[in-house]
Amino acid sequence: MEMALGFFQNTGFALADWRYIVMICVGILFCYLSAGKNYEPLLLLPIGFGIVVGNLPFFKGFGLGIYEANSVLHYLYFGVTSGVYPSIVFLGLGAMTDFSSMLARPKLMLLGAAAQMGIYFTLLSAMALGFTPNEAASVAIIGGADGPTSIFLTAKLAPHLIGPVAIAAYSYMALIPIIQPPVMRLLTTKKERLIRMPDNERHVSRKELVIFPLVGVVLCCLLAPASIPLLGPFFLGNFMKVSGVVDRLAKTASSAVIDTATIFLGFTVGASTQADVFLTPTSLKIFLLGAVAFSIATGSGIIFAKVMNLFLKEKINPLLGAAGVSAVPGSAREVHMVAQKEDSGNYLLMHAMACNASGVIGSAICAGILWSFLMK
Amino acid sequence: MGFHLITANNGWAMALTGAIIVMLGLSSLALIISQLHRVLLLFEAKKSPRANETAQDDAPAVSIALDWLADPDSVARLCQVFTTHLGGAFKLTTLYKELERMDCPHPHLTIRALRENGQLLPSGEGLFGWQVTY
Repeated sequence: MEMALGFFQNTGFALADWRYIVMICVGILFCYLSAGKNYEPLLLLPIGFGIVVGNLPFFKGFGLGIYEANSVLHYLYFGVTSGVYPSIVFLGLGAMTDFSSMLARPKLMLLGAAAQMGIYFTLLSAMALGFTPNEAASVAIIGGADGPTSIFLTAKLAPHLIGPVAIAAYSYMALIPIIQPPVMRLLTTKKERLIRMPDNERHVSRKELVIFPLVGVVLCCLLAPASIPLLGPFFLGNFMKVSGVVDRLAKTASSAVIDTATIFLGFTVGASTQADVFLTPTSLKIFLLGAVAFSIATGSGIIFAKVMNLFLKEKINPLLGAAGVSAVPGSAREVHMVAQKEDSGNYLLMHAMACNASGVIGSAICAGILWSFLMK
Repeated sequence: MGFHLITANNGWAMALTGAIIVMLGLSSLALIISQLHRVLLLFEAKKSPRANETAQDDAPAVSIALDWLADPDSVARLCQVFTTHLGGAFKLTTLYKELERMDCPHPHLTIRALRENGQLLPSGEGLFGWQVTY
């Protein structure tokens, strides 16, 4: 009887309190949203499951939890805290990205740059709300709409916020179809939404596609060396893809490698999101600021496009500015669909992908800039 | 509101400097990209006999594409043969992969032409089907 009682006292049932139960419910909700509703399943599914696993109560000191040295989860979590997983994900992203739209329409890259203003506006907002500079930068990078970049920067600057920042970033990426269209409609007129973009863009040669990753990595990393861990692998992946001589490596990078990193990244980030960090007023502020960041990023891209139109003979559809956020291809698809609702013959997808691709580079540069400002 | 906190943490300078740096960086990259094809053409012009050959090599590729798509009905018939195993409704990405696998010339242009000519029609839920089954 004593043995049974002793055993029961060491089970999760006896060790649980309401906070763990709430977090397990949050994890189950994420699993439902991903598996049942198909919201960003590639990330939300492992994150959701990780939240459930990470909040199952256990007795401390036996190397079981993610924050306990020598535990399996702790070793897997090393890839997050050291920035390894985001770099590997970027390698795969580069191997999957086709820059031909962007190379054919270089002026649309400016919209990718303009959309990063959401990051800096959120930086100021976060500081005003009392976050330290490191925490503010980690929260601000959510505005880049890039999950791996957010996790990378937060791991370097404010590791205690990885959980809420990652969940905010991926949740808002999943909510792009809800967040972006109202902002797009608010900031554009019907006449502007009807602007058609030219379809007769020049053909991009293979030489340009091969030279671009080399030029891109040298220029961007000379400007912001702290973005090397992200942009280095990113452009390497792209170079492998376009060179055509290492197809096997490019295919592996864009499939098995990125998928493995994504699984461990999502799972361990979720497991690290424990009740004492997540169920706090700080997390609520992070979620609010994340929504602001996304909206401002969308709006700044659109407004910049309208400003560009003041100087251009051939006008740009301002909706494309919303695709300057780094959420590939979700925001490009939303821009295309909003334009299609106004005019079913208006195909903006490839133009929006140009802005999207530029946004990926822009958000990584911003992460490097913020890290270099706050490096000690 | 909290402006003193921003000032105390040097927030204004960080935000302004960071914004300028990222705009300058991407603008420079855009400028280089916009001139890259011209620089490459200059190099090609220096090797002019080889450049002419390349231009001539490109011309047949373009005319093959145009010849291939000159008769959309035949193209549709051929593509259906390639894709019988896909059934009556399929995703365009699946069709693209099949055409690529069968070494069909210009699968992307082909699918676009088939859509524009009405041979490929949407059948709901993101799937497409053939207008006429041969």
